Amino acid sequence: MTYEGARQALAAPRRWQTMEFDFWLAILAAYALLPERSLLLNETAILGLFALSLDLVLGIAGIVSLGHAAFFGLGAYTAGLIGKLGLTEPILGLLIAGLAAGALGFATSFLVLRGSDLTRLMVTLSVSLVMLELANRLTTLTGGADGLQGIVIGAVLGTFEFDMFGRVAAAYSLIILFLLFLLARWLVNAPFGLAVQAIASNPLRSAAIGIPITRRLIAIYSIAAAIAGIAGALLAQTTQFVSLDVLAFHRSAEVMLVLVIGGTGYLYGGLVGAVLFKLLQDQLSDLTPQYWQFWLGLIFVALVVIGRERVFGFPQAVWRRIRGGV
Amino acid sequence: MTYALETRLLQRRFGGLIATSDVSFTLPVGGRYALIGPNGAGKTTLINLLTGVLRPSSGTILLNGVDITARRPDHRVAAGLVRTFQINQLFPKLTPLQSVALATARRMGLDGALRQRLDANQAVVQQSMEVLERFGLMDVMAQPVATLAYGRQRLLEIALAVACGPKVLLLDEPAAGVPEAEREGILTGLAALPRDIAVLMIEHDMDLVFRFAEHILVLAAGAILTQGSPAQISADPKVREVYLGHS
Repeated sequence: MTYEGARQALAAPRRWQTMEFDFWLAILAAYALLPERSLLLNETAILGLFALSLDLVLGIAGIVSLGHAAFFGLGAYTAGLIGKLGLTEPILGLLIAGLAAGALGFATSFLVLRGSDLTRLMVTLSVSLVMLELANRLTTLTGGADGLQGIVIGAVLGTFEFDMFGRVAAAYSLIILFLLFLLARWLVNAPFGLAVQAIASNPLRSAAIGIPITRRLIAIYSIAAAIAGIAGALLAQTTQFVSLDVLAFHRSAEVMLVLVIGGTGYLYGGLVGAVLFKLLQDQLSDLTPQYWQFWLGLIFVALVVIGRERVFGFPQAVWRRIRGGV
Repeated sequence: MTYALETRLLQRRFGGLIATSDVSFTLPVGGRYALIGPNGAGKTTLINLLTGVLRPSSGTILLNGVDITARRPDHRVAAGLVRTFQINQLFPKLTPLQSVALATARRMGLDGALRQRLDANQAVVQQSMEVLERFGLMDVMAQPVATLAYGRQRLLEIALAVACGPKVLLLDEPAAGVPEAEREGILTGLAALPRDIAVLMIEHDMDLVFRFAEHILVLAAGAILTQGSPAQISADPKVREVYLGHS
């Protein structure tokens, strides 16, 4: 192979695929064509962003976490609090919430990165439990079990006021999701991202070629924490309410489930998983308001048993054929 | 005279066990040395001491005359002391090109870069290709490493280390597990190592050792039993004793 061949082979992972354009066009179409589903779309975008953040940690860097809600929750409370204190500009709120969550990620990364997978599960879980208990106790700050109320959020860019149908909220969350997805994609395709993927794949060899493993993992963990914090902030801003639920264990578990359904390590897994999860949740809770979780669980167990490739492989093949035929 | 690698009275104890006992040797620049010894002679401990995975109980290690005894493993790599592994330690999902480009980028201090793209860096692409070419891996450079034949993976194991720009290369049983038919490929790969790299090869395969090395160190019970040219070593009764168990 020639120089040009090698250059192109190295550049291949960052080239945009047709499927990627299709995905984002479908999201845009959903927003344009289903205005009555804006609230659901907003929730999906937030869950997708949260799962994208976990994908950076789990799928790209290979760090298992059962406490990712710690960052989501801190971001939500931070955004809520500054909204309550009168700093109502939403984008500034997102940035501050992201910084706060990123700082927590940085501080706890030193605990998380030592030890084995099992230790990491324990430590991440513990950090999120500590955060939950803190939020529960600091009632003057968080409102405790009653939740944080009286959040005021201004218009986005001073122009787009949040409406009761969630049109602005959905557009806002989707745009933030898209921008942060671009950031994640850019990071993963940088030499930094390649090094992080190499560390996840073989830490022993990564160290033997001289990559400073701990430093790289601290960086990716902090960045992912900041993104999770921004996802939490989006929830606080678009619903103008924060409850202890944002830090609950089931949120960490749910985002892990969402990511695993969609597939780890290629950045779209969290987004695809979020779409699937929210659609199923929405449909099933319409059909059986009381037992939807049972059916949701059953479907996911079936998905695991049958295998994701077989479930998604068929529609993907059909789609490729349709695209190929045009 | 400055040696590429030198140890002085290197010792490592595990409790009451002395795994490495007063090991002193010198490896000249560009030297082709082999380290042999029966199982349990302390070869693995010695490698771990050299690469910094283990700290010695006493003694010093010098790389190009500089004391590196207290340095961290990644700093030793940056200083030019690089190893390969007895069991392949590769990146299965990456391609050989990506793996070698990453090691090359690391050597240039670019492995944490955000705004650079490796494909846009002419030096990275050029030098990665040179390494792959040297080990005959050009035809498979864009395939996932996991799909490569074992013998090719073994060569990539060495190529990855060479991409780090070593001054001293520690080869841990480069022919381990390679079937007889693919041995020549490994030997060709070893012959293709740049002459300015000093090599210390740990190997069980005597045929390979005698064809590759110009100087052989024999380790037994943690200490250097003897050393010399291949002819001297093969004629040495002490070596036969250790290997064949004659008393």
